[in-house]
Amino acid sequence: MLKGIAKRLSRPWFVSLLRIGLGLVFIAASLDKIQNPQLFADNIANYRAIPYPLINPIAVTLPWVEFVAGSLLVMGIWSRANALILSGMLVLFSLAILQALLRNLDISCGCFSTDPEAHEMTRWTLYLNLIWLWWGISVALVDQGRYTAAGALAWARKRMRYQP
Amino acid sequence: MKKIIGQIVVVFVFSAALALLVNGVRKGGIPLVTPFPPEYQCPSRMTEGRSMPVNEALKQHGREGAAFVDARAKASYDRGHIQDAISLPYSFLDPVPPEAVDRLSKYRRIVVYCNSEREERSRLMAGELSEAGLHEVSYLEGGFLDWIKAGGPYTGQKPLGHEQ
Repeated sequence: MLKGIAKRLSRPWFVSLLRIGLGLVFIAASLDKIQNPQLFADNIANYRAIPYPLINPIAVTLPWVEFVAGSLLVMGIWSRANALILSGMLVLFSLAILQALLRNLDISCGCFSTDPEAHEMTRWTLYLNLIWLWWGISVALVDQGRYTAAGALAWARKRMRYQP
Repeated sequence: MKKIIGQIVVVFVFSAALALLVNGVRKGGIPLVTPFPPEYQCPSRMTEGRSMPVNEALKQHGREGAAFVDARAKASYDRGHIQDAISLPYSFLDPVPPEAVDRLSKYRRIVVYCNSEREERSRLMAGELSEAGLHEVSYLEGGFLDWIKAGGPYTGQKPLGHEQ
């Protein structure tokens, strides 16, 4: 039975759906942070886990890594590498959330919005991050490079050749 | 594996370059290097102010020499706040500005409030204001939500629940 489920879950269309979904999630997560780097820097500072001089450089670069890796993932370019990048980031996010919860910090996670009032961080924030992490690792392990932007282009070119 | 590591490095370098370029060109860019200001003091010394129950705060409201300070973000204050409260958003990273302390020094009793379940923002701010030399600084138990439940006067919208 488990084999059957695993077989179904590793079907190319399903894995591609996971890949595109993960990419879109990270693109969505990056947009507000890119727009408001100062607010995102405040969000990072609220975790009280990052040395002060590193806060701004991280606030500037991290959303762009999310955006670029997410976009490449949606297009199916270097899928494994990008899924690994996003999974690595999710490991760090999960650790940051875990330490904040253990220290009872009353802060917003800053995951999708830089508004400090946006979302109260609870253990569900951590669980959600772990689900994303599982998602990212699955893509990194089983993506077969199907349904990509390059594939779509090749298919379009092929069709154009047959329709002069 | 080598190929994937190479791709990861390329994505990181490209994202960082893009981030630095956009941050340098855009209007709302933030400085990458932020030296510690000489007057910098970490406000998260975890010194907490004295608590004040809502019924006691209700008695204080409107009395001469008493001030209510809203420690939440300005956007939350604009949505709704305790009547006649002063907005002074508290950041875990930056100390309360000395001008704000000066402005509050004319009051004999100060009640700081936020609207989070654990009142961390108002507790820390009350502690910081006490350490700055202000007298009789307390934080409101239960925050804005409990104030409303107790029938306290307010301006704007009611909060639906606890925020950050």
